[in-house]
Amino acid sequence: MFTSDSIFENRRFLIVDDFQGMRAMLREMLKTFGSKNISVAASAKEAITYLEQSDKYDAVLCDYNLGPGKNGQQVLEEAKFRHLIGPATAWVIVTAEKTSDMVIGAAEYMPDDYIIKPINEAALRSRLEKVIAKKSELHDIEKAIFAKNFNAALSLCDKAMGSGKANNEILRIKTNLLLDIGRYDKAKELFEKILSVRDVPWAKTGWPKWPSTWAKWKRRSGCSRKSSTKIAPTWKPTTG
Amino acid sequence: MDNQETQPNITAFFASAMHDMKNSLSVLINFLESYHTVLDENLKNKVAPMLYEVKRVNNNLVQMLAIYKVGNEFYPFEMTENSIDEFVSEIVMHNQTLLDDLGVTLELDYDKDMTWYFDRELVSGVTSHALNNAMRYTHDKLRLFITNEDGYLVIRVEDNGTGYSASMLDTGNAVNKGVNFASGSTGLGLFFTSMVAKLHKHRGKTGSMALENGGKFGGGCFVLRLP
Repeated sequence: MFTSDSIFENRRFLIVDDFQGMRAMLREMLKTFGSKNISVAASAKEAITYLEQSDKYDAVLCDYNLGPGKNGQQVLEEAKFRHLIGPATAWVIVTAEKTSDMVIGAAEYMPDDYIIKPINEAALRSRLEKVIAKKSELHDIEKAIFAKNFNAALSLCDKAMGSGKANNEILRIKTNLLLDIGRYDKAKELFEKILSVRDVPWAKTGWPKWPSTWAKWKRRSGCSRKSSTKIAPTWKPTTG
Repeated sequence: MDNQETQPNITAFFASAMHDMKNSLSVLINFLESYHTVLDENLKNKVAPMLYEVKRVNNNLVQMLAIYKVGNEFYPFEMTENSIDEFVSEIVMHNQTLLDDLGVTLELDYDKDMTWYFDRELVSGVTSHALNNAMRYTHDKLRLFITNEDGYLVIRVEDNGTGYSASMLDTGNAVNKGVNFASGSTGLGLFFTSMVAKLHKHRGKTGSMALENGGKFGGGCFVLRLP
């Protein structure tokens, strides 16, 4: 049922939690999955220290509530802003409850997933495998876009989608990409296909009013290729 | 004159208390689930009811918090696209230990290629609650049946017990209509379910729940419909 241990074996993990019982539990679970490289931080401050000093972690499991000081979302924002984590680093927030932080906010500062406590071992493993795999796919797409290999990026998008999978995120990237490269016909087709089934908010607002000037406007406004997989405008996180 | 400093932030208290309670529950549940594999039959039978009770506490907490947030209009409701296969897999993972301990087999019936839009946390909460309840009243079988019917996602939890009593069926209908007859824990779960159903709206359609007798095994059926 589970993928081979190497997805955990060769990756570096960071656990951040203010509760000792949780730290111990998560560490044991990761060890059971085959992880050999696990750092454990007990506070936001300690987490930042680890992130500053080490080579990029592959995955971070961070509690939302870290006691006094910054919360897990703020640690993520600081880590992203200061490039303490790479574009392929998966960030999962472990939380007692879903907060608005997980739903609204700038796209590039959102966690890759959130897990609600209590944590079930099998569910954690399954989630981590999926998040790590998806992050890897997204990173490949992003690299292709950055290198202007648009056709490669498009086919990577198609490869990442599958029946029975939640494809919205990839579809969003694909529509954005199609618009960027001027394939308005294909983009429109995709938007209409999505909207025929469901009133998905991003699809409703995604189709620009004047598509023919879309590419020109983007160039003029200086939107860099690097951020083209994310939809939200550039935004500075609230640190301190 | 800064009044804000002297007024307690109730939401912050709740968040902090929830954090504490969930941490404790996590440790408890993890302990009970991991030790069950090494216990002999005699001890397993003693531990299973404990796990059931701890899960009930957790479910109640989840429901109460959701009701509080929705009631105060700050629950971060989010209709995301969900893989039904993943949704079901996780529900099974969370309940497998308890199912095994109670000697209940769970039958799964759903299309692996299906996806649907709903608030993952809320609907997981509802389905888990329904399953936990059904585990108590079933004889030895449960069925989780998910299908697309008339543009609604229909989630059914069916058991092979003796079915819901007439008063229970009445309560189910009443809660769905918005009239609350029951109080106490039965009321909490049903109210939560009904609230979650009604939060889900799409193109003029709204979600609903129902309690019925029948289904594949002729026992009790919990039904959730989401547009």
